[in-house]
Amino acid sequence: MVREPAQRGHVRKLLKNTAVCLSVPAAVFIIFQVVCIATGEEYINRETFRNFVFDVFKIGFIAWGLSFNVPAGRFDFSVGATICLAAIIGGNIASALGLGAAGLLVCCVVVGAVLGAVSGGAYVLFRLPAMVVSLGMALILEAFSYVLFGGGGIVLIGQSHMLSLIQAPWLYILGVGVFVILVVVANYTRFGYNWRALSGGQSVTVQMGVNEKVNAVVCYSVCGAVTAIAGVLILSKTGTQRPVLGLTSIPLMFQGFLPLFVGMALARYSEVITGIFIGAVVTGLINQGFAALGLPLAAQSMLNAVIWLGFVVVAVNQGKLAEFKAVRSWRKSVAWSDGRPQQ
Amino acid sequence: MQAIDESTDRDTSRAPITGRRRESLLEFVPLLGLIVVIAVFAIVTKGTSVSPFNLKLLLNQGVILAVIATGSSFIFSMGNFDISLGACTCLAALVGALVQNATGNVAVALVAGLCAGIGISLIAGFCIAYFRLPSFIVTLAMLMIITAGVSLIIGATSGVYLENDLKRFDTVAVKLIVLVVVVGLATVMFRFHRLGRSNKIIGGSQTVAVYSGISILRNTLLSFLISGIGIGLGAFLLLARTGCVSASTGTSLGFDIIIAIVLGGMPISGGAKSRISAAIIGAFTITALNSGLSLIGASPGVLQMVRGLLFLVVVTLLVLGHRERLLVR
Repeated sequence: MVREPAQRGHVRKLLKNTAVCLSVPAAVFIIFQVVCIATGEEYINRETFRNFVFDVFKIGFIAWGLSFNVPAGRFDFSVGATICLAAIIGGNIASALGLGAAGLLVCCVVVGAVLGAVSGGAYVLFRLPAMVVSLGMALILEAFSYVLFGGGGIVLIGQSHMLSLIQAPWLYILGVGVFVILVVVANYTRFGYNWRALSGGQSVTVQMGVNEKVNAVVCYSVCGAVTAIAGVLILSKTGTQRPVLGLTSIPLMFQGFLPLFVGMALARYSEVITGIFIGAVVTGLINQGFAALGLPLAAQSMLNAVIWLGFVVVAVNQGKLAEFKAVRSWRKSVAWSDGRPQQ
Repeated sequence: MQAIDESTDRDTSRAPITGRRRESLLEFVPLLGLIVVIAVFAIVTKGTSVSPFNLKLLLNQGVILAVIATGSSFIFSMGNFDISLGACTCLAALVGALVQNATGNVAVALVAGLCAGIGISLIAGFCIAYFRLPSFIVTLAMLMIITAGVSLIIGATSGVYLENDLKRFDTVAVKLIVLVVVVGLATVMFRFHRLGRSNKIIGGSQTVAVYSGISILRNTLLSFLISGIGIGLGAFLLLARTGCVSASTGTSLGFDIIIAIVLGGMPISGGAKSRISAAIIGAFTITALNSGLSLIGASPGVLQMVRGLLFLVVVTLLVLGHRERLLVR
């Protein structure tokens, strides 16, 4: 009986947080729906819905992977190269062993985890800024994608038994399954606890007995494994993965940034993995909207980059905006009190 | 007792001199690196890499890189990072080519390319300085925006070809004049002007710079302006050499500049050890390396792998002993 008001408050907070989280994709959907109706285009139909779901999960996997490093201050340029190389090596192994779609997934995830661990090991070993190490690693991993398997990458066109992961129940099972695993890993395991603690403050966490080096390597490894699933989805859709050179893998990594930053902003209303998923839905809705309006791919990626930059500007300068408002209101109050007749 | 004191005095008086000597000797390591790279490939290719034809090729490729790298040294000396240099060069070259085709006037095309380079560079500089964003975030976004923009204008596979080519500007004499002027002005600015000195202070510590009355906003904007000039001039020389622009123009140039600056001995975090000579030495080292590896038949994959490994090793060696404490232990 005594707990009732507290429980009511908790429920109210939960409802409020849910409403905030859902309002973002809802707003994006409504805006594009209105624009599409005004221009006579169809926004999302039965045909485009499959593309939308594929897009959401692909972007979501990249953003989930990035979330293990970027919020901790480890900017990773090598994610795109890891995705491509994991798909090439994993795909070739699965093909050589005559495995099916599940085998392809396992091979790519294992290779992705190993490549991620190598990147993490390089970060710990060189003790350089993550951005610098990841640039070097991106170059090396891209080069491996070209050097291995005679520069042919992987071609699985026609091998439909290996490419079924993007078909209807499997894509949903894969997406929801990985989502649940990541929520558990991030929130209910020792690794997740340490990861969040280290992201909050490294020195204090290390003094508490957490090994930051092991945690960093595991974070890179998890990032590699999760982003490799995005590589599997791309491979399953196109049937091929060609080698990449000259840092052309960066745009692939970049796809995960908008959902990551949206997710980090929404994390205070839910939790980070769920927030990122909502961010991926928002990004998917935006991409679908641009496609429905007939914008070419280049224009879509340009607008996505502009939106992301705008989002980062607002996120970083939130304090400045609040300060500006506070100063303005203080000035107003001072002016008002100065103009008031003295008693 | 006196003997102990004397020996202690001797030790303390010697230590800084030894350190200084070591520092001045280390300054010659990048130059030594360039000589070693040229010598090794000369031996391996049995002199082919140092034939007049190849040396001319080296100069042709190296000058473009050196001009852009010299301009961007001002950005790097502040501890900022620009990964969009290749894309910016591509856009400036595209604007120059379009204007050249439309007007037929070389001077107008050059000015248009310069304006494009400066404009795009200033936008990035403004975002970094005014909104206090990390430089790699802004330049990554700029890389995406410019690459997509160029693809949108000319298509992913096609290109813009010059109707009247600029071959008369693709001579060693013109390139050397441009290089000497750019390097001369940049060196004067860097060593004797307030901008260069304050940039090094910002690279050393932004907090100290702010307390010393240095305007980060002003310095960042000026540095990106100078980088933009380098981009514009580099784009013009590139256009004169190739005669066309496609979406892939400058793809590898951006990262080559970063490697060049690192190979030349510029610390990635900027600061007091930054110098213009790093851009020149580094540009010719990376060009000699690329050229030598191509001559011995290395595939593009192997070439990139060597560059990646070299980048990591050199950066590590440069910061050995005074690395930031990124990890607590």
